[in-house]
Amino acid sequence: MIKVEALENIKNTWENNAISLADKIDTISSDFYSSGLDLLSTASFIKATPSELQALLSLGELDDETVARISWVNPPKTTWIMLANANHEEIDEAIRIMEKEKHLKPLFSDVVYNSMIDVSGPTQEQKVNLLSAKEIKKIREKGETYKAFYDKEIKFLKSIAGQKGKGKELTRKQIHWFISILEKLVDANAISKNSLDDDQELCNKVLDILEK
Amino acid sequence: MGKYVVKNYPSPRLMETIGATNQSVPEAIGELVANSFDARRGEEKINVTIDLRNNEIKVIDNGKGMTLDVLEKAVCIAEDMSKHMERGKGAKGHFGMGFKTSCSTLGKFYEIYTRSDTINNEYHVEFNIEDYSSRPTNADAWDVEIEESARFRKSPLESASHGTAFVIKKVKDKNISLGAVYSYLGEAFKGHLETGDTIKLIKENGEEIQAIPKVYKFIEDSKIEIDEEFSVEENNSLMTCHITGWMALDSRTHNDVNYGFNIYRNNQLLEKWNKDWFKAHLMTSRIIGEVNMDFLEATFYKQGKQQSNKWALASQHMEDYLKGMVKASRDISKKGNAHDPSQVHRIISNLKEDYGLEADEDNAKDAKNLKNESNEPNKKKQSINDTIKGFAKEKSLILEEHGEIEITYLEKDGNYGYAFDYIFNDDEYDDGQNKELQIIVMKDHPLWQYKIDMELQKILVTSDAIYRMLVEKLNFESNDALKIRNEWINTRLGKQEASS
Repeated sequence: MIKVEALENIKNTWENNAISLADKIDTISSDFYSSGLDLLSTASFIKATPSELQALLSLGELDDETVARISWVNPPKTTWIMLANANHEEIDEAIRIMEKEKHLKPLFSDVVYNSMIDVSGPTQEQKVNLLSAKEIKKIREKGETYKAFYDKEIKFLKSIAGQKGKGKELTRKQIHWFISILEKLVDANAISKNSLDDDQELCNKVLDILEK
Repeated sequence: MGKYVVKNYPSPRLMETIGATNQSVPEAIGELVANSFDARRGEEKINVTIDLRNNEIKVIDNGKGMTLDVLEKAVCIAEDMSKHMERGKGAKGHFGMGFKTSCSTLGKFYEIYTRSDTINNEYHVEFNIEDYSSRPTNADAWDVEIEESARFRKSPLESASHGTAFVIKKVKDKNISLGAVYSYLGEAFKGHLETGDTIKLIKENGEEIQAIPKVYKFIEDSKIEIDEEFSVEENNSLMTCHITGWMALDSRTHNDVNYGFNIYRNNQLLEKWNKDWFKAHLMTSRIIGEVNMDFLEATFYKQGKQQSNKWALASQHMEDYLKGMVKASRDISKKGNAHDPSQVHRIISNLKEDYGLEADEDNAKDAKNLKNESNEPNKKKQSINDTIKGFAKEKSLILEEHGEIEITYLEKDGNYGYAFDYIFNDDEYDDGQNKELQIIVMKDHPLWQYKIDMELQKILVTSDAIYRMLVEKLNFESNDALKIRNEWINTRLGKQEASS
């Protein structure tokens, strides 16, 4: 298929509200990939944003049965990225909750995200932010005992423990550094599945954060 | 004019000050364990028990124990015990400082119980460090009282026919990390543990744990066995020194100190993560390994190596030997290589070739399969948390003609060539629904490598999306869209005034 023809087909399909979401996904994905179009210019041509088009294309990566079930619910565009990046359990729960609450006119992206998080738990960053000042202090003390830290890392941990103590969340950059420090603790065997230091609960939390 | 002789006795305070080393608790306990291994009876395996219950530290072994003569020498500071007792090949202690230093590091009071395999009686001696500190400096101040009995009622040796037990009381560190001790012993005495000697730790609740040799994680098939030798001239004769062990490429780079070589002497860790043989750098930080250098001398507490001609020659040899490994570490640490199985295979093959080894063909097949897997376009993510890194509601936008538009903020992994974008939903959904503007932030875009305040980022990205949505989706004129955007920013900041 030549690119111009593919673009016209995609535009017509994108704007057609009479066809199902599954058919939209199937037609647009097929035309887009088979004719080698690029995301930004295609999105511009059909008057969509790149994220809107990308969200639809990513739904096309799901299996046909799942696409059909999502299509049946016909969820708003603002849920597509979430649905495309979820596992089956998360999608099942999202579909269930959307069908249950649709008459309430909720903010669907919020409902979908929270239903998925209920299934899969919080994100890594959220889990890090759930660590208390006391737990961060304990982590620092362990690292010092195991000689796992540089001075600057000890200072950093003291600083973020103080920050958490004042009720402030950690920034993304702080979280990333903190995670790399936690990795070091695991490498040093200071955090393990069978801790000998009567702190298994904290170890489990850290291992859960690091998905180990 | 004349001569004056001064009775030069060291102050008894020395017993206290030798405990002011920078030894950690695990290292100090390790020193006592090293003494146990030095007390091996012939080829018998050594079993060491470390009991940390009841605010005491007990280190008990089944070694040959000490006779009265040996014990008399052992309690003296800086007595070379190798002159007074038969010690197995590869004995670690030489300086006569080890247990005094370590016990004084660990506590203010310690006892030794010992029962030799050559006699029936048991000996007991105790050191009260605080008492030493208050003694006057004279010859008598260093007197040590040794008790003898068929069996001491409180002896941790119980019914054992031979062995030695150190009991440290008035422990200085009240919160000893058993895990740190366990981890250190598994690393420091890896060689002993791998050849049948045992170290058992007893927890506060009586539970017993066996120390296990440290396990390393490295890139599969990157391990190279080391078996090198070099010659050194000593006392007018040429001596051959052997370096054995292994090296490998760590699965990750390090911006910390935990890479390089663990150097062992007679199965005991002498220096951790030595980096003298290559230029330490992030690109070379994948180099890890263990080497046995039994020819090295050790400092009196067996941590670190003494600078010597042998060490200098060994270093020279290893610098040259490691060139292939350094090259491989640099290559695999280049952007993207470590995550590309075909590149990993190429680097490992070159590495093997550099060291005269054959590459594993099975590994090549695995690499190819992995490459195909990683390129699979429809590979499903495991969970929403793998990709969606943050989701939050933002302050909504209220427009006269369109009503309330709710705003959400979604952070996502990936990079499609833009740093941020939006999705606008105004579709009808059955009986109608709220309009929603969803801000999409692509976290892997290079823009987000710059330091920026999170709140500022949210406001700027959202205000850009508001402007674009108004113009692109709701057909607002540019100046009207700008005005609404600015009003939203002011409202977001909590200001009452609208921008002019």
